[in-house]
Amino acid sequence: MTTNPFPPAVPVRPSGRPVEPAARVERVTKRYGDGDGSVVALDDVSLDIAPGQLTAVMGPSGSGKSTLMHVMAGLDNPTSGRAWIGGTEITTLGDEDLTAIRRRQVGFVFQAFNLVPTMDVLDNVLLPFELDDHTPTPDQRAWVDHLVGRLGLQDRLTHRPGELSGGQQQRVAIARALATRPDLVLADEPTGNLDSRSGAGVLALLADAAENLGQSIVMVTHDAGAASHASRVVFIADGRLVHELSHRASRAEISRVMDALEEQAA
Amino acid sequence: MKNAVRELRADPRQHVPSVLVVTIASLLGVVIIDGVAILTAWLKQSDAVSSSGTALLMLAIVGVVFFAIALFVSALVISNTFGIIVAGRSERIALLRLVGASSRRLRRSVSVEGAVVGVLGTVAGALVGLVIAVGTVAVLRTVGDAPGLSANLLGPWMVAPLVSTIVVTWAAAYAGSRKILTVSPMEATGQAREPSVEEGRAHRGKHVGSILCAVLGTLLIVAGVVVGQRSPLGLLVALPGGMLSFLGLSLGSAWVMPPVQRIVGQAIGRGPAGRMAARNAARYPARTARTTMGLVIGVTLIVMFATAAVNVTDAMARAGAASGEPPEVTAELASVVADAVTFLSVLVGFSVVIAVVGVVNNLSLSVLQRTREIGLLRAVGLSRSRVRGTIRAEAAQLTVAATALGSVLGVVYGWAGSMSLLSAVRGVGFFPPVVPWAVLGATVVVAAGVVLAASLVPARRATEISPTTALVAI
Repeated sequence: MTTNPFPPAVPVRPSGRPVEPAARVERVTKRYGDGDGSVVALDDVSLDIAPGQLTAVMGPSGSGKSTLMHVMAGLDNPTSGRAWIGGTEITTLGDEDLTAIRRRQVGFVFQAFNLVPTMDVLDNVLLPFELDDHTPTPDQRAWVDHLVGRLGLQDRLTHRPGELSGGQQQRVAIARALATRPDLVLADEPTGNLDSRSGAGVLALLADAAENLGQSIVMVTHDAGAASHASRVVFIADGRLVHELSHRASRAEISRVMDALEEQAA
Repeated sequence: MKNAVRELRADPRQHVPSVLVVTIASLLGVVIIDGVAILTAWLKQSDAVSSSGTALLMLAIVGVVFFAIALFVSALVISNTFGIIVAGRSERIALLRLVGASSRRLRRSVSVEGAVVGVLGTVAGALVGLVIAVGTVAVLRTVGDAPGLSANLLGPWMVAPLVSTIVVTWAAAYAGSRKILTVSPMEATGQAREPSVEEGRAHRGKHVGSILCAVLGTLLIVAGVVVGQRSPLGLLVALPGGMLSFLGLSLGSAWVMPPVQRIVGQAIGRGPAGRMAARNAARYPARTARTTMGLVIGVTLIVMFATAAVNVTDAMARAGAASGEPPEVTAELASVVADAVTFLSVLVGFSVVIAVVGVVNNLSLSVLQRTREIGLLRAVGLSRSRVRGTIRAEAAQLTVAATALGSVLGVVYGWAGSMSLLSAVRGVGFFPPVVPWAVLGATVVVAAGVVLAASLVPARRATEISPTTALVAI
């Protein structure tokens, strides 16, 4: 899976970046509602995301993994605690600044409906630049061309999303997420809508982006097979981090942890 | 039937704009009927009966024509609104189709909703109209020196506008529900992605008919102007030409409007907001065209009357000068013409208000339909102010395109009409068009106001969409 048919043609990352976590949350709590009826989605969670790694966040449904991702991405504010993307603390920012952070420093791959249906593939990939009001620099353009080639999209650039298969659409989403070389890419069940073969292709691309392009990626999933592509798996249940595998674990190993968690919950 | 009740109960707010439109149309109908009734009674009191019989009949005919125009615009708006509502329900419709509901049955259910909307709006409009009529009678009794005035405000004629409003609403809702036919039961299985881009292109026949009407209509207008050099009967040739050519435009609006909107879009839309707005407007050409046609009709009529007024007044002045008439006579004529135009413009105003409701409604429903897409764009980094800018640019494109097209048509129709009527008069002959700049200016100002007002509610809705919406499991 990790054999890479395309050796990197473009410098992977500007060198000399300080070694700091790509993203970090510190003692984050998220509570919905007040008083007796309140629901704690995240309960005092702290997590560092190492740069250049594919990290999987796993948990049963309702465990708080999506909320964690929303907080990490600056899509939702925690009730208490702090969060950083790159070196920037995002928990103190207003909506305009958060939007700019998402545009420049975060990439997203969602389960479905990733693409704007009225734009062709190339426009969708270049969307973060368009939203940021600038045409890509030659360096950025070269990077995008490199990504497009690497993801096998070069023949699809003028197609509309509706003309692509689910797997192809997810590849376009990955290209868009990587286009700005963000500090962090967040992938929410990126293979949830795909058959197993296209799913495996998408996962291999994400692992490749982390390993060979140095991209930091957090993937939220409940699928042990998907998590087995990650070099680190964090488990969350009832809003707390409960377990961690800090190596590339096998599907069986991950399933065992998940089964134990689900048993506890039941 | 049960399904219709369920839908009405689940979200009654979606029908508010339609009810509003029907209310305005029915109000106009009641005001016209009672207006004529009150005038008749009043004239009877002031002993001017003999001379005014024809005038009243003319007034009634004009009233009926403009009521018909208002109904037509309402039908456009309502069928559009129902089309969008049905599109928003496509998942539920697909599920019902999957478990065995026929699309005929589902369409009938939607038309029941249309009938409910029609009855509610018509009754509301009739009540408001009656209150206005009773108030007018009261005012005339106290200050209009007609103390004994009594008009029959609930005459049998009242049935006509009320029934026709209900029937038109019901039929328009049924026409708008055509989209149900294209919903496949497959959509309920979760395999389908975003609904396809176009909601049913019109057929070839419509295309041919549109071009035929436009060409024939234009030829008739030219013929009318030519005949008009000899005889005022030219107007009788040009008038059907104008109606035919406009019918051609309406039939072909799905082809004519998108290019106009594209040009307008390029003129106003630089930057991401403008470009996104342009793409959105081009997404549903048929729907967008129908939305704007209501406005085009209103602007065309108002500009046409204004153009006719200035051109007729000018021509009369020249004719008067040629025959040595005293200028006071010409001035008096000009003021009569101006009064008539003001009166007609007020009647058209009802249609314009209905069309504006249609534009607002089209924008808000399309925002609703794009919730997921707007959420995605917010997540990927589109700021709130940009979202607002996009919606405003969309409103601007619709309104500016309609205003521009309507203004051009109005000037041409008004000019051709005045020429076919008056060129034969001595001292007039062929004349270049006089453009009513004041009215055009006012139209532009009103249009700008409409853009801002029309985008207010939809823009607020759009900016309230949370970026996490795009992430919610589908």
